[in-house]
Amino acid sequence: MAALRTQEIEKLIELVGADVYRFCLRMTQCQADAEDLYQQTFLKLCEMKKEIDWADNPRSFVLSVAALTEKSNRRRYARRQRLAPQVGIPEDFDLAEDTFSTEGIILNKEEQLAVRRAVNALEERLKTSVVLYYTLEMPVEEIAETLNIPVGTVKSRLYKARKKLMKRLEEWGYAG
Amino acid sequence: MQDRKEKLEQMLRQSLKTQKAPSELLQTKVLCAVRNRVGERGGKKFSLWFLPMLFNSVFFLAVFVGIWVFFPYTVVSRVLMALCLYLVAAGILLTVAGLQFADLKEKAIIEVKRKGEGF
Repeated sequence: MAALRTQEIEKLIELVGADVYRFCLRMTQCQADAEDLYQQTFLKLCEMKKEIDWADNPRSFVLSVAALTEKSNRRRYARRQRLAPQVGIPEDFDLAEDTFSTEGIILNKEEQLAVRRAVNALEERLKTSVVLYYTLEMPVEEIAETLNIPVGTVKSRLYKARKKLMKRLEEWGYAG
Repeated sequence: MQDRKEKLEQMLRQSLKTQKAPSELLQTKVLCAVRNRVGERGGKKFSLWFLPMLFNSVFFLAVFVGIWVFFPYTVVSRVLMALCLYLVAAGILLTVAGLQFADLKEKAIIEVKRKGEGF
């Protein structure tokens, strides 16, 4: 099997780069980490000895590589955290504003940050499904294909995630 | 209950949705890195993680045998022989530790590039 060629990777970047970047952004909650993960994903694709099937949803394939890379980064980070703990706070970039009053904007931004913090605190497997579903608006079938799990598992992960998020946000005084 | 669920759905969509795209600079950086990596792939990589352990073991085992064969069996020779065995074991243990905790297999490599390759 031949490894992916430069032109193929360039085509992939053009085709699914934006989606992969959004996924990285929401998974890492930090712009610098997202850029690192984005780059790592495409470099990992260079190493893969797999022909890409352009007819069979290349987005799922690239996102699955990004999800696996994020998972291994997290493991490495956890090991580092055990040795030298660091506190990470989600960055408040890219918050949507759908209200006109200043108070409304501030409250809205606070709510969005709280939701992102709650999502960030979810277990890895739940967080990945949530990000794919809400950020990229992928149907559950495509998420199942990306994560290589059954559709039912995706649905149950989303259900569990929503339940946990609801509980956490209520504890914090949101989603009442 | 239904209202709360709908509100949560709406909050999740609003908070997680983004239209951000990778910057031109990032795209260029990634493309350069990809071209570099593809260029590197033309060469051959050899992992030499075992080599220090092998040399260390061969050298100290040779010293051990030398002492055993050519030196009289005294306290000093016994101490030296024990030291040799200790150094062989230490070399093996250090290599195992390197494999477990420091990605020795991935990092202890040499690359042989073909002429005219790279970016």
